[in-house]
Amino acid sequence: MKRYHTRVMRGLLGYFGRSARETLSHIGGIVLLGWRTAGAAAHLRAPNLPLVWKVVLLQVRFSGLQAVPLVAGISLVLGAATIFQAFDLLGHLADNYIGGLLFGVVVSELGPLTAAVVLIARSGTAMATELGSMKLNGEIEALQSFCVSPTAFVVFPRVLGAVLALGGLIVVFDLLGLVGGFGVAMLVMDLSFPVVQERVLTAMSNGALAGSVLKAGLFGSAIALICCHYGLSLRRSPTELPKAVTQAVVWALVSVFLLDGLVMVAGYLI
Amino acid sequence: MSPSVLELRGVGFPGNARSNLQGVDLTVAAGEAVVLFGHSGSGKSTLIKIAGGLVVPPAGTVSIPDPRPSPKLSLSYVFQKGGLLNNLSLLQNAILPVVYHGLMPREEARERALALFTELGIAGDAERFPAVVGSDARIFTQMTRALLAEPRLLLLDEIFLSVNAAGDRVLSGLIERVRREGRMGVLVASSELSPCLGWADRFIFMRRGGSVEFRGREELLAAQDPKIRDFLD
Repeated sequence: MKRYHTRVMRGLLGYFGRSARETLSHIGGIVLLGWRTAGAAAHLRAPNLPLVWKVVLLQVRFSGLQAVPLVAGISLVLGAATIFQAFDLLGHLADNYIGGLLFGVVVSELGPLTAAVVLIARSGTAMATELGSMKLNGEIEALQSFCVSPTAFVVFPRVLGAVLALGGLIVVFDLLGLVGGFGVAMLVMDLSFPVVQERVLTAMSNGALAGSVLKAGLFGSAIALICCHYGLSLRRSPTELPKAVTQAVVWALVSVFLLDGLVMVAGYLI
Repeated sequence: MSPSVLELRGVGFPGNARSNLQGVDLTVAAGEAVVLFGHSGSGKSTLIKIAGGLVVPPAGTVSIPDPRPSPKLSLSYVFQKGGLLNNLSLLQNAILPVVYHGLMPREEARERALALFTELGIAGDAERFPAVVGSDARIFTQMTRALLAEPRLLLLDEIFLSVNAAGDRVLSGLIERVRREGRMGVLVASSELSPCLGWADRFIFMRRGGSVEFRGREELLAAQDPKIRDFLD
């Protein structure tokens, strides 16, 4: 019995040790990919730019424009639900908090987080799958064979495209979230448009707006780098692909929430 | 004596039971076509990848002398499998390196690629994507991409396995022409010797424990080693 327990303990320790080593190796790989991507972007020359820009635009179209209907629907519902719940809980006391709720909760927090989750679900999975397939099909090797850096031609445009697309999606979310919130405030709480507008404008701060822009940059680049890293980490077989995509999604979500916490703490301290 | 376009010196690479590259010296001159042949796993493709810079050998040196001022693409590679970007058409694939590196304007690259496509019989597939064309069209597209860049060294990895007999003739004609023009050297890895007999200058039989070189078709055809005869009979 004692021997059995020892074996179980060793097995568990071995499992956690391997997992920790694997996780650390992936974190290192993601940081390295970010560093290389920045370097590759800095070395892009004029002749390279049209083709790279084309990939950026394709990424913005897929990750940004095509995600607008989904983000629009979610933001209308979340904006409306936030104000409705506040009214349900506080009654007309909620009138005083409507600006803070719409700007502090919907615009500053829900907007970046929800847009990031949509980006991970739609584009992060696509990036990891596409790059994994490119690696297995020898497309990455082909690029290297004619001196086209995969980080410059494949990773950098996706990172830039994801940042631009996420910025756009956050703006869409914020605007339509406000529309949803205004709608409930006017229809259910009987507040007039100028009153709600005045309260939102009062609650608005430059710091919070800068935080949203910062989040678009941080979340977008983290999501794209993590998903590209896991796609490129495939070695031989298509059977590695589902695991890589799952890990990409999980770590992208974890990183977004961690970064959100860090930005929140930094904003509080500043 | 033509200038060399590839120089491998003392290249070593740990392999498997069949292949173990050790102390490989190989020089390919401009206007020369060299064929590496041997059984699957004998190290042909590994040596081609080492020459192409896709695999870094733990031992030895690789150099591709190129006297041109600031050359962008000293070598071009044609892969047996893959090798094309699946989200680009054949034409876009063919012109990608030269356009990306700014070696020629897009319009000129398109015209020259289409001329080569026409010669190779795939002009009708120019706007189609790699996934929906045959393996011969994919190899021809890679050949077009490789030649458009006007490299010093052309590396061809098992290209004859992916084309039919008519494709063999087309590719052989193209390689023969490149060789005759004398501007670039050609290094081919092939499990099939028959398509190469008409144009290769040297044949190198790859095997564990050392390679065997034959200078020209006659010397190769006179070989008595049964393992080499397997490739000829």
